[in-house]
Amino acid sequence: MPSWPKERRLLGTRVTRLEAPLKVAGRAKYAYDQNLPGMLQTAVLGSPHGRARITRLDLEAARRMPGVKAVWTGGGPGRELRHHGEMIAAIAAETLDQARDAVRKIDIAYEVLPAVVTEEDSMAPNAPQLVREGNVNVRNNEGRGDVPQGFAAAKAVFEGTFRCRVVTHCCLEPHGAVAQWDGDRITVWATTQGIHDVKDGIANVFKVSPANIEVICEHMGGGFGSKFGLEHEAVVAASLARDAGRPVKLMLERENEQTTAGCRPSAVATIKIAADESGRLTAFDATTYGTGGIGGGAGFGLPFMYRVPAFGRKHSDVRINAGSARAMRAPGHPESSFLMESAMEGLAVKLGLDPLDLRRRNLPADSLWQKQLTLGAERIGWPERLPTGSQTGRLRVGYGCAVTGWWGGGHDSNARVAIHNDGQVEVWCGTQDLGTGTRTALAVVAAETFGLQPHDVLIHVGRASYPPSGSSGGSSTIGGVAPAVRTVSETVLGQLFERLAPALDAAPADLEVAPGVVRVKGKPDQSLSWKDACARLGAQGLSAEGAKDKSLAGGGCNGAQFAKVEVDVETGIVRVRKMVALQDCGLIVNLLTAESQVYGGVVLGIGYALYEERVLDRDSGRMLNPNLEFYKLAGPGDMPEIEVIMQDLPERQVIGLGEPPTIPTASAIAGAVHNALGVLVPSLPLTPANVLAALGEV
Amino acid sequence: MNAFELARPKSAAEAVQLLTGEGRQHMALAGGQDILALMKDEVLQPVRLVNLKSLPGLNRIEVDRQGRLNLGALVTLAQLEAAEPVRKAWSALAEAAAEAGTPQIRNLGTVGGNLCQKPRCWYYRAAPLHCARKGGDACLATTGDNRYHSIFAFGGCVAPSYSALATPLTAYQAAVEVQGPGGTRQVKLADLYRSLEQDPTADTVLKPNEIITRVVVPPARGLRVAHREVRQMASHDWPLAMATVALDTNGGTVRQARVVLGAVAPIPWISAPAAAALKGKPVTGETARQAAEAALKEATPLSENGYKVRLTANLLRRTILAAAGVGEG
Ligand SMILES: Cc1cc2nc3c(=O)[nH]c(=O)nc-3n(C[C@H](O)[C@H](O)[C@H](O)COP(=O)(O)OP(=O)(O)OC[C@H]3O[C@@H](n4cnc5c(N)ncnc54)[C@H](O)[C@@H]3O)c2cc1C
Repeated sequence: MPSWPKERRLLGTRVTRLEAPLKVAGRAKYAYDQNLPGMLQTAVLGSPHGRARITRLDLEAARRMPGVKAVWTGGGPGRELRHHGEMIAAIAAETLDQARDAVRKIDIAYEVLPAVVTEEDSMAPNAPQLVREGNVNVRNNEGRGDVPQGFAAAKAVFEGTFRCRVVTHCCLEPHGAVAQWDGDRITVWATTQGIHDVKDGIANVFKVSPANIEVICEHMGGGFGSKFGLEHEAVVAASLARDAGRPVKLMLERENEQTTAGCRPSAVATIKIAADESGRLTAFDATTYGTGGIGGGAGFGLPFMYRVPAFGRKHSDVRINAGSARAMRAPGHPESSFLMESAMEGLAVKLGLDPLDLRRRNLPADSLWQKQLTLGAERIGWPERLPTGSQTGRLRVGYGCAVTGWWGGGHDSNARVAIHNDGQVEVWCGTQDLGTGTRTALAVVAAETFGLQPHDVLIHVGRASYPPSGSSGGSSTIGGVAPAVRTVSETVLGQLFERLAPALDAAPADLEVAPGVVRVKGKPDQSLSWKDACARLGAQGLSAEGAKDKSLAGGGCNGAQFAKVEVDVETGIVRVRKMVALQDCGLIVNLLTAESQVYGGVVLGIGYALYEERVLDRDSGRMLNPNLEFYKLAGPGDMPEIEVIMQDLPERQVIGLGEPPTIPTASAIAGAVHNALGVLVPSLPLTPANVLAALGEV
Repeated sequence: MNAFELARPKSAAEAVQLLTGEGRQHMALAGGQDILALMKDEVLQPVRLVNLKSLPGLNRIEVDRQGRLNLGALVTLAQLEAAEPVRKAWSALAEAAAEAGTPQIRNLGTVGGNLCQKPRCWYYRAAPLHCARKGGDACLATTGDNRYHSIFAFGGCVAPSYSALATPLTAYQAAVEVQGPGGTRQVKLADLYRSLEQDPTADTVLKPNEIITRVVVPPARGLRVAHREVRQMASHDWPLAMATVALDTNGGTVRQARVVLGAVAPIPWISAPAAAALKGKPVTGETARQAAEAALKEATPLSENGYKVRLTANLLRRTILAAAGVGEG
């Protein structure tokens, strides 16, 4: 039975990324960087309107422009365009400039229709209906227990309405692909979180045998949930490539990336929450809605994290004329967290309880959260926290906290491992490294198993022809691929021990590896160096392919975060001074990249708390900030001291952690702002406008 | 982006000649930090760019015999923020230069380009939208999302003036030297943008074939000057408000004050009421507050930017106190 080693030499240590030198030198090849001989470049025409009908579309002049080799269009006169940026046509030409010039020669006319831009406008009785099913999808009421009784039994009740705005993924490498046909065979260089799903999609759309498809993703410039499956951009690239008989590259330009390539839905909740004498929640009720744009839902869970015996919930998904939502790092969860934790903040005041205390009382007494809350409070300096609303100066300091949880169980994964007769170990896994350090994690696992160093192992990921592995979503990758490589490495090591047993005069089961050697347990002098051992393998070496042993992966991780902020009540500007993030993910494979995930989660959470918001023009439905200038992304100057504390719990096996650390950040910051000001700022982001409005200064 | 012609004049007079477009759009190119982005976004489509960078002698910072600061139009923001004489005697200008954009932008962006930059309004910068600033019928921000826009009314466009240099230069009572077909003329900073009042498409009083060659700043000896800005992000972000306050004091009282606000009006906003409120008084927390209130009394905020009124009043109060050196309240 495969298992993780009791004594870990490399697992859980800080190992720098294997691909770091490539990235630093600019030699890592992203889909964006693929430049094939004879390759065409593509420019896209997106809808300039929030809502319009095409009344004329003539592509002839565009086709005649210099360099143009192929033209794609998604439909002409009569087609209704339902959001800014929606792809109308794409033109492949010898150069990008030629493609852009040709796009400008497209002869098109629109009948502009009234756009529905806010959730409230969309829900209004006389709103134009955007799709046949109607604008609003009221989900079945959810609930449990006797809610009226819960409120009646309460000592304190708090009610409030809270709101999170739509934010966009802002992938630095936009969506897109390079496609190349060779007869019936096709190769796609995709920027994707799921190479196998892209392969499956291509097979379905183009009726090609999976045997004739290769999908390649060596490195990836950000997905955050927005790059699953076969993307529209890749379909268009492959169609253009087939029509032109040439390889084609289509990467979205920033405006189209921001308007069409996904976003996190909005979330609005009117919450009523109650607790008894002891601070235990007794009842919760929420009426909620949100928009995932024209196509997506806007689901999020409530109540969140804390145990409530009785709750009711009514939710509506609302369509508007905006780009559709896609999964975004912990879908629904940062919203749930902000809405719930804001209500907890309000309730704590009503109860006269320290908000940290209120959280503790509603989490299991024996849970890891309790320990994390104790440690985090110490690290942030919670005892220095002044009572909420007690400060009067211009600069007010506040402290806040929130908790997080996630499943993070691993997906299915295979791997192939080979040992060559020169001692080189090679690993193949059809996963994709999103920039999270997957390659390095696999090298750590293999090196640990064979008594080698990570850079001794040759890792191959990012091709759909490699042993299948799941899409990278739900923080499921590490719990898929690390167990797979461990399982198969142990199999190959068993084969090696079989071969070496006679030479070492011992039974295979008595052999073990130590750094650089294979030896007989308890007899260190009966050993062979790794090289000498492998030299006995002959031309074929050893190899095996197999699936992961599921017992090597766990599920369910916990975390807590604390924020210390400073608010200038004269300008409404919030600065985060310190964040403490405590997180477990079971057995840590690579401490360095695990910490990186937490830092990244906190960094995104700070942007989400303070700055990020998709702004739509109420009249035209156009996105007003489809760029990285007026769409505010936090930069280095906005970063506080961030202290990451990882809890290593190897007995819980390997668990994913890409998503949980971004869930509670904004909530902890909002809680800290509440503590500083004595009023809840009910809307994210916590802009000067929202803060000053909450202070009654507008 | 359209193909365009790039002209490299050898003298200011030749530049002026090359800029004379007779109906065709010819534009000056300096650091390119603004104009090239506008061309790529197809907001502007000049058929000729006249590259001023080839003009000799316009990248110098000099203090002349009368103690005036002479800035060539091609002096970069990075030069300005680092120049010792500027930091010593016109420190508010150096501080403002250091706040603008990012280090990369300051390395290329010039004084002339900074003063003549186009509005940073998300309606103006969207090529398909035809707003008043581009000759259309209506200012789309007035009825649209105007959270970052002007709180002081002025003509038919509410895009705020973001030039980091215009605010302090107006307070220092600087003037620009302009070269045109008929020779050179001087335009006071306070007059440079006034034409917007009548014509929302006119950024400055300069004609299309006039260029700024120099900025002349009078000596600031004896003046107490401070420049402050509020930006939401510490990393690059456009200011929500800027203020420069210049005080001429006698003993403890203000003899003359000049108060200029940026990012809150389509032009650098000279607040006469604030200056009047300070005149003849000592600067205290209370007089500074009164002056700030006087300035903001004139504000007519739009639907989404009411928060800028308080924010600007507080910024101005602090800037007055900073100028007087009595702490920032
Ligand atoms: C991301 C970003 C952030 C920025 N942040 C700020 C900021 O915080 N504060 C700020 O003030 N600015 C900011 N800018 C705006 C601006 O680009 C810089 O301030 C810079 O100084 C512009 O100078 P330039 O030489 O590059 O101008 P150009 O782009 O070369 O020219 C700008 C305009 O001025 C005209 N022009 C240039 N020189 C002359 C001249 N001598 N006579 C007449 N007309 C002339 C040009 O024809 C053009 O219309 C920012 C720009 C960017 C892209």
